Formats: sequence, structure tokens, C-alpha cells
Amino acid sequence: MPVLTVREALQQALHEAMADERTFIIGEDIGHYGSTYGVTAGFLEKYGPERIRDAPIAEAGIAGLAIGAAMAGMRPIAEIMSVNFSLLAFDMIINHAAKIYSMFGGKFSVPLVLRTTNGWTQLSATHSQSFDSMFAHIPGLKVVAPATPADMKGMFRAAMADPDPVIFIEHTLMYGIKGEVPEGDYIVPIGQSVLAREGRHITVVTYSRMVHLSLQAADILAKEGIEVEIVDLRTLRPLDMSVALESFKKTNRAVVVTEDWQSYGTSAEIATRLYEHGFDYLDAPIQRVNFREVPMPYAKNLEQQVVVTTDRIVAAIKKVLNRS
Amino acid sequence: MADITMPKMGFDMTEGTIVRWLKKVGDFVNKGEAVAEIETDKVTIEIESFVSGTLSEIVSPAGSRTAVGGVIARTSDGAGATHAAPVAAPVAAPVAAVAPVAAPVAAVAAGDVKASPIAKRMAREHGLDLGTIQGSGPHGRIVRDDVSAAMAGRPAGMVAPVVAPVAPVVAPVAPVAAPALPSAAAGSTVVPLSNMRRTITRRLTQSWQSAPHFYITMDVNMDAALTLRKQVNAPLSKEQQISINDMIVKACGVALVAYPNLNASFVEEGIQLNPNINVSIAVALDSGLVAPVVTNADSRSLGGVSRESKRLIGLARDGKLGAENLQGGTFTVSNLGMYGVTEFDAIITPPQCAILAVGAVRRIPVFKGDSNDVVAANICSITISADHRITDGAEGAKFVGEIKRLLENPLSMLI
Repeated sequence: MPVLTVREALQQALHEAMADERTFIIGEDIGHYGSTYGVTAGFLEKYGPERIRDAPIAEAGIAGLAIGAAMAGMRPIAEIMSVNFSLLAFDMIINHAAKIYSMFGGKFSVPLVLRTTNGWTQLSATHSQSFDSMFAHIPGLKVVAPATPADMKGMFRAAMADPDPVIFIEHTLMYGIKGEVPEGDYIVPIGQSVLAREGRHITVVTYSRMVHLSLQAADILAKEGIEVEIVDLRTLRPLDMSVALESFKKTNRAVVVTEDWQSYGTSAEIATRLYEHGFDYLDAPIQRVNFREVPMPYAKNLEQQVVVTTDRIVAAIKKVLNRS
Repeated sequence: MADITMPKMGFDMTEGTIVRWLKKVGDFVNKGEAVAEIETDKVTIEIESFVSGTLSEIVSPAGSRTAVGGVIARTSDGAGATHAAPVAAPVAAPVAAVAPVAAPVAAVAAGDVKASPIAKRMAREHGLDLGTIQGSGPHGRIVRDDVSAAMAGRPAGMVAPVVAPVAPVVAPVAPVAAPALPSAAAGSTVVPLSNMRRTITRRLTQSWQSAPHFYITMDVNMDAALTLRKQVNAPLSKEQQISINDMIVKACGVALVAYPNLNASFVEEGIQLNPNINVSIAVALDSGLVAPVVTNADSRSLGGVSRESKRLIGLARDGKLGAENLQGGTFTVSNLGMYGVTEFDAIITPPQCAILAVGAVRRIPVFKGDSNDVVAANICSITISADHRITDGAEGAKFVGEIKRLLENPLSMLI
């Protein structure tokens, strides 16, 4: 099986999507510049300006245009360069994309895929945020955040085939991550979580880039005889907790790791579901590892204090296991 | 500062005995350094500290038993302060009683007991009083492992053991609810159980009480097997010789492929068919009995089975078997042939389905075929004990018949 980076896997998925002539891509700097993270490099040359649309800095326009096109029978891919800019498109996404199917009595659907990125590295407070919980809060949207190159490809395929608007969340620090990617037709259904690592002492529930950090933490703890089981949720809405609950019923202890603020964040929902459906299996309070609750500092040393690190994951796991 | 706890060294380890301390109070201990030697159910092993610091207190002295997860010592980072949190007290080895000594009941009302939800549920389902269990979690919270420990009839402040102690010779007269401790008869000596003895007691009592055993005995003509053994052993050195037991283990491995029920385990949800065929071989020691595991006995060659078997028996005799050598067995062979035993019945080792008891190879007169001519033959009686919850007599008979067929046509198990 070929080993690809996340970027290459996404490129493959986008080329596959372009085989459908109803598909076009619209976003800032995606054409002539090849996109900020290089995912659509070469697309303009291959598919031409009709289908690879460089947009002005107008996120509401990008989202609104794509929503209308989707309603009219196209299969658009809208790219919002950074999730921080999606705030300008929230009315379009939440009040239009998410509502149209129900408000028009099912006569219209919005088969739109909106790609965007979480991420940080000295981008400061307004460019280092994650709004996963804001999207995942909204009925009418589907929200996916894959972690591996294979899931990027397989879930993008599923997103393109989905009749509803799908928010496809990538991560600026994951484009270089490598992994085996099946060739040809490969679909990973939306709404199915998966075990990223087996273990018997504690369950870590996570998604996106935090899967990789959790795997590193598990490697460290394995040397101390602690076997960590890791659940990759892959989809935030609809949220499949079956794998996490099955694991939790075995280990009775859990840590939830998400790269957003803790208060009202995705980890709050995930931990609550474990409590609601796994209460009788609980052996210790669930711990959460997240961004510290401040606007992201620019200074590197301060930034490191805010973001999630393997050390913090290791410490949380030990705390839940009552090990020092 | 941090606690050093009794580690879990195997899936069924419930407690350990401190054999000796390698460090004394005041010594500095580096993370990863061995601090004590412990005896678990079947092995003696050194345990390492997970932290660096000065050993400030030894909670469990040499000779004492502590539940898995219980604190055995504390370290401090030099400031001298130690934890004040309540910890599982080590239980002194019983000196003059067969049954576990009743620990004082903690004087707390049930409502005051701090326990995790799963600990509460397990206690409710097994009829245990949480007030009698010492918690090892933060702030003395009773956690899952504390209840598991209590269910296994082990320390941690437990009052009533779930598994009844071995029946006393003289039944107690007083009809009391709590397990009565038979007072030692005058002049008798009571030897405290070693961990190995205790494990044998616990596991085989469990097997005898929960698995309905049935037995099937068959005579096997070993002439062909002995001839083959003589041929293959001729060029081999004394250390490399294939034993009769090796051939029987190999035959069992091959036969189990065709009879997966005999390689299964009875679990709550049903019959668990085990993916690998791992044959435990019972090895008698002066101190008791161990059963190291020859993994994948079906796919190893006869020579491979023999080499692995010799290696494991060597480790067993030297007391160096690791937990990994004792786990994962799916079937057992117990051979008392060397003691001149004709045939015998063995008790199944849980969670396995069956055990094969092998007697001595005897040279006895038999009728040759259908004729009235009497000839000498080498006969070995083998007896299967099987769990009737998993399998039935007819299947058991066919399985033993397959072992007999393989041993009487030994070349067929070499291909």
C-alpha cells in the first residue's frame, strides 16, 4: 500500500472529486498560488479557471456562492483557508447551509463540502483557534476531523457523496504526516469511530492531530507498563461513541484530549456521553486535556504553555490511574 | 513523594508477598531501580520503582502479603514528608489458621463510604459490604481493583472471603453465619500456605466447583510411537532426546485443530473458541506444581515441541519461569507415567476446557488382532477430563480417539 502524506492523500481525493464535472473548487489563493498549504497546487493548470475559482477575501461570499451552487445541483468544494476566517461565514453556514433542507421541507439539499484548517505555530490569538464545538453544535451540519492520510482520503470521498453540508476540518500541523493509503475507490463512512491503539488500562478518546500526540504519550507510558487504548472519533457530528464506550467499559477510566478550550468545548460533550452511558463502569473521574483558557499568545514559550503536549497527556493519564 | 505499589505481574495475579527488600529506609532509589523482590502466585520477581526519591517508609515488611495496587512503600523527594492518605494495609500472613483472618470491620456507615460507580455496582452484584473494604484510590476511594481483590478473598480489609476456605477436617459445630475458624487441634501444626499452594487452592477449587467434569479413558498402543522415537533419537545427544510426553503434547496439539471445543473457554457470554493452541505441561516441583505453556503446539514440529518443553521445564526447576511462560494455556497435559501410575483423573485448569492425564507405558499381553495369539504390547492409558458446559461425552470420546489414532500412527503427526 502506498505511503502518502496527508497533503498527498487530500490531493488524491480532490482529483477524484474533480472527476465529477459538477464539482468545482472555490477559495482564497487556491488557484494561481496553489493554496496556502499546497493542497491544490497544479489544479488550476489541470482543470482551468472555470472549475478552480480564486475568490476575493470574502468568506461569506465563498460560502454563500457554494451553498447556492449546491442547491442548484452542483457538487462544490469551498475552501476557507483558516477556520479563524470562517467566523465571517457563520451566518451562511449556520443559518443557511444547515437549515435549508429542513426549512424547504426536503425539497432542497446542500451537498457542499467546506474544507478548513485548525492550527497554530506563532500565529497569535486571532489565527490559532479551533471552532470544532461551534460547528458540531449545529444540527443540519456534518462535521468530520480525520487524523490519518487514509482517513483523509476515505472520508473526503464520503463527504463528497453526502447529501448534507459537511465541514471538513484539517490541521496545519498535519499535512506532512505520513501513512498508508489504500489505492483506488476507498470510502470511510462518516460517523464511525475507530480504535487507534489497543490497551487495557485506560481509554483516551480524541480526534484529529491529538490522535498522534496521544499515540506518542501511549508509547511513553508503555515503557512503564501502562497500556493505553486510543479511540479516534473521526467524526464530531454525528458523534459515534460506541467504540469509546466499549473501551471505557473495559478500562473503566478515561482521558479526553481535544485541541480546543475546555469550557463548552468538544471534550465536554465527549466526557458527558461517557458519564451518561458509562456511569456504572466509571472507576475514577474523567480528565480532560485541552488548550489553556487564554487567547493564544504569540511568544513561543508562552504558546507552548497553552497548547496540548504529550507531557500533559501523560500526566492526565497518570492522574486518572492514581499513579505519580 | 510517591507511593510504591504492588504491581500486577500477570492477568490473574491478585496479591504478592514481599520476599525481601533490596533497599532500606533512607536509601535513595532511582526510577527503574529494583527495590524489592516479590513472590507472586507462581514466580519470584524483582520490582522496580516508578519514581526517583528517598525511600521514606516500608509499609509492607518482608514476608507480608499485599493486594495488587496496595502501597508497599513510600518515597519522598528529600523533604521528609510522606503521604497521609489512607492506604491498603498489608495483611500479615496467617500463622495459626487455615481460613483468612477476619480483619476488623471499618466503623463507617455505608453512606459514608467513598466508592467509584463500578466499585459500587460490583459490590452490589456480589453481595459485598463496601464498609468492609479498604479503598486504595485518592482520598481512600474504593475502586474497581479493591472490589476485585475482595472478591478473590484477599486482603484489603476484607471480612468474608467469597470462595470458602478449604473444608476443615473437623466441621465446626456452631451454626454461625461468618466463616468459623476451626481451632487448631491440640498438638497439630498448621503450615501457612505458600503463594503457589494458595493459587492451586483457589484455582482448582474454582474449577471443581464451577466446571462439571466428565472423564473418558482409552488405551493407546504405543509400539509404533516407541519405534519412531527410537529411530529419531538414535542420532541425537542425550539432551536432545524426544520424550514420550513430547509426542503426546504434539498429538494433542494436532488433535485440537480438529476439535476446537476442547480448546475453548467457558465465559459469561458463551463458549470462547481460542485462536491459538497452547498446551500447558504440568511440571511437579518440590514446592508444588506449575504448568508452563508450549505455545502453538499444533504448528511446532515434534522437535520444536521437545526443545520448547525442555527449555520450560528447565526454567521451572530453576524457579525462573516468567509470567509470560505461564499465561495463555488452552489445554493441559499432566503425565504421572514416571511414577508408575496406571491411569488417573486430573482437575481441569481454568479457564481451559480439558486436561489429559497420562499414565505409564506398560508392557502387557494382548491378543494379536482377531486371533487368539497373545503377544506383548506397550500400552498407555490416557484419560481426558473435560468441562461438560462446553463439550459432551461423544465429542470427548472422538477427541481422545483422535489422539490415540495419532499416537498409533505417529508419522501422520509429523506431516
